[in-house]
Amino acid sequence: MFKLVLATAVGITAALATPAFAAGFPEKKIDFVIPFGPGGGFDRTVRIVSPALEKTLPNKVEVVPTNIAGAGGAKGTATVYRAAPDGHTIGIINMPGAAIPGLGGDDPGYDMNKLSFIAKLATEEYMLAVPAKSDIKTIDDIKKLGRPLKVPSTDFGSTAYAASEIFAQEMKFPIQHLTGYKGTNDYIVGVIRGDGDAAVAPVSTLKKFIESGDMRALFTTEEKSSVPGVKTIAEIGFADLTGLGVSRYVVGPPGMPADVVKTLSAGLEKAMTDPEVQKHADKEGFAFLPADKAKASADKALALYSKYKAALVKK
Amino acid sequence: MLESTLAALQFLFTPLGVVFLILGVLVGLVFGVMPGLGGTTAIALLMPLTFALEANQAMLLMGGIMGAVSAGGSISAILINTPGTAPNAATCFDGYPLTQQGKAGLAIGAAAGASTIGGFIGLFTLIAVIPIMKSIVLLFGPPEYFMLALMGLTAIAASTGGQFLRGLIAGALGLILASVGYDAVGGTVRFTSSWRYLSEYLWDGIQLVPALTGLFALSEMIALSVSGGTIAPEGATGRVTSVLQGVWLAVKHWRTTLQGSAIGTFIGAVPGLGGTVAAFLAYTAAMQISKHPETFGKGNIEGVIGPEASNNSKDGGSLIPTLSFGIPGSAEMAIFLGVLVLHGIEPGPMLLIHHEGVMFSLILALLASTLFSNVIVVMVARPLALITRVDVHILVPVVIAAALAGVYALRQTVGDVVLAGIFGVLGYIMIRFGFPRVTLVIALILGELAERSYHQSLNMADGDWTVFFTRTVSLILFLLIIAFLFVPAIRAWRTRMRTGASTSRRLHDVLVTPDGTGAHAGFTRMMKIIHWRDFGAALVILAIGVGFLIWAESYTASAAEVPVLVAWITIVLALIDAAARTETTLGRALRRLANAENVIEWKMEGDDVATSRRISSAIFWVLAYLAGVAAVGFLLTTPIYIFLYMKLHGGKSFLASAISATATTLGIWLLFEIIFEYPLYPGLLLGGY
Repeated sequence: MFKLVLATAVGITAALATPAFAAGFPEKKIDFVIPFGPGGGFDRTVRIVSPALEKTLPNKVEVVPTNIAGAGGAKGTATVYRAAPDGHTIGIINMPGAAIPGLGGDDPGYDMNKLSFIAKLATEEYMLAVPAKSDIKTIDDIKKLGRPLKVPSTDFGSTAYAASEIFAQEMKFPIQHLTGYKGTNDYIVGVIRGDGDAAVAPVSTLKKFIESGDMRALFTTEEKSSVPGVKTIAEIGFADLTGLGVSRYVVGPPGMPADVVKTLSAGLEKAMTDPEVQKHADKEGFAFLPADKAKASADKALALYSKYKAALVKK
Repeated sequence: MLESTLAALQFLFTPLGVVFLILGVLVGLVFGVMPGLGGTTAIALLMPLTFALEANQAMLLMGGIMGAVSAGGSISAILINTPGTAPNAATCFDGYPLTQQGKAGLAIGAAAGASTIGGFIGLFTLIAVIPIMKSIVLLFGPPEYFMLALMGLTAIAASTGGQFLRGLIAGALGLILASVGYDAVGGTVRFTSSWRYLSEYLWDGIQLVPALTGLFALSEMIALSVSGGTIAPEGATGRVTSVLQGVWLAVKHWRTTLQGSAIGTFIGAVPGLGGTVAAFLAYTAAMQISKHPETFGKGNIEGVIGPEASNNSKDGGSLIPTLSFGIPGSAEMAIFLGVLVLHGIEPGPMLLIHHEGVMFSLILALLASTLFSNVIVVMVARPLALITRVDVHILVPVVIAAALAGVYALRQTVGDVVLAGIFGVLGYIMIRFGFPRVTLVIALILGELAERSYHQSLNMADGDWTVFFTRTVSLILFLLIIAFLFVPAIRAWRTRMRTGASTSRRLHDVLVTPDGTGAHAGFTRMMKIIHWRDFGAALVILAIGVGFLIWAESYTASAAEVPVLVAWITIVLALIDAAARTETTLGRALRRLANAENVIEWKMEGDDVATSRRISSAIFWVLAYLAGVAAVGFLLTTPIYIFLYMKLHGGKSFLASAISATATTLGIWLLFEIIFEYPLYPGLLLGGY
């Protein structure tokens, strides 16, 4: 009898003690939350990375891509935010997309500053382009229009909308947003058609329209221009705006233990070198940063966008 | 172009190529047949599985699916009055009556024939316009989209199926529903309430797939659950003959087939309008050119041919914006673009230049799939038609469970399942009260596009409304709308002049005669029920209109503009509906004018206690299943629901109920969790979100 009691006591102590050991993480399946439905870019990134992450994390647990769509991404991120900070629920977000709803004081269900940043996975820079036949060749030409530059975008609060607003403020030209387009290609075609004057869009998307001879880029936010003949934003005198693009981060609930973050970050870093993941690296813009650097990079972006809060928030 | 066509052909005819194509066709047919599952779901779920494939193989698989889905969907539309996919909804109107007359084979054959011809026309049109497709796409900007949306909305007036006034009311309700959610132009979130869970869910608006699944599939299941028995009446109707004769009819009515194909191709090429709208336009257009428009809705084969021709031709059309600029022409295409990206193919203006071979693989796969899938449909028509002789109480729970699982799979959101359930009950109520569901659907699809492109147009023209009339294409579309609006009215007027006598009946007759009860009993009963049953629907609509108006007024001017207009339309229509219910000169005149004579309030058999009990029971089971799924998930609730439903509501044996419950759950589990590796909802209590 005494033996049994002892054994039980030891068993219970061991069971209670286990979660305290970092080596214990992960203990069960990890939900990798995608704040949109199946079939989009976020979904793709997570589904490419998850199988590799299963291999690089200790304890052979499952990594389950979990789509939680709603509220333009806010619902999924809020779900991660509310989850237990034990590393078994993580999510993917984009900056500045996830930060914009909170800038205006609206409560999107999470606080950007409190999220635990685990890694940065990918980055995509922007270009500003006009129709190939347009008379606009420089920023000065925009100022000489004598009217606001019409820039179409998907919606108020979208990342391209935010970028174009920041360009307008820094380069001091008036801007009129034409919102309501269904996607990036849609508003670029809107510019070709003449709905608006210029499009701000990711480099990889605009590249195709430049190659096809439909569009001409004025500048890129890349550090080094990837399209011959297109100036970087630093070269036209706005070095501060270099790297203004959109980035994808892996985050977790506030207050995650440092060792759990480290395990996940290291797992992701190794997963990104997996040949299956590398195959997609170019087109997905994969560029890994570990936890601390990811946090710094996100903070920098947040600070930058906060500066333009007034223009990005619904009046 | 020839070179890549040949290369694609060569690949298609390798053993592996054929395997992928057939696999795609089979997946497409299965997803097409099952209500609630469609091409979009199939592509979204299959996408991760194409990681391992070559781009060419993936194209064959995807082309196989897209070409086959609508053929599958037409089967369920014709046999069980439940569109397998939303664009098949128009096929129900005449396809199902044909089934009831024992002509299911004819209808399925005609659908297959029309859909094959339509598919080929759509794809050959695409190939023909490839050199000029960029200029075609550039012709349509926001003002043109607005006119096209308006054109679709005017189709509401033509597709009310003899219930003009209530058709318009249902359309107004659709517009109300379409304005829920985030408004991309103004940046306002509207009509989502302040309850966090609800507002988070409604932020993205009323989702089409769950709404349509509810309105078309679930409501029909509730109706079957109430009526019981089998779909095909006892007797010879289960025989399926003359499938091939049906195929021939699609050729014989070549004008209807061609017209449907043209409409499908064109609407398919316009992003945002979609296959459902195309099929309805094709249906109404078929009615316009038919020699027997009066038999539409009662089993006219042309009513099957028109929409089915449109259904498959839209695939070719929707590839026009996709191939020229990388703009998805339909929801399916939007997901399909993700598959392209996965294979290193960036959709955009260089798509056809850099990846001509891959794109021709897709076009060839679509062509082959259109043919294969319809040949398969013709071959399996006979055995499939046996389903109409199966007791509906076996059919109903299986369809409901599979449809809701499919609805969940698309966005992995349990809110979608609940929405589908609510729309299922709404759809059933609409059937009972004589509100056409079609018009609500058209308005729901087009309302958002109409409002968005209206604001976009004014925004880009700095507020100058003449933008709608100074652009050539926009002006032409406007004139077409005017023509569409007046042609049916003139036709109706001429018919009335010819037939002379008014067909209007007094409300009293309508209430009394259908079940042949005596005038006295009928009168007493009328006195008993007239108070609320006559005006109930109108008053509910009025309340909705007024409530919506008050809510809409709380938003900023631009966000409120369209909702306020819609609210007033609803209020006026509700008042007309109420006035038309009265036994006054005005009421009689309105009934005649609005063609509302045959509007039925709660049908007579609804007064029968046994029927009322069956109705409550049928609705109860749907709601109970929903509650169960939300609480403890699909895999626990489904077997219990099917078993209890069959045993208690259907009166089936213990063994039959247990077998169906086990088999269905197993099938759903295998399909979603094992084959596609997408977890089904685990339930709020068991870790669901």
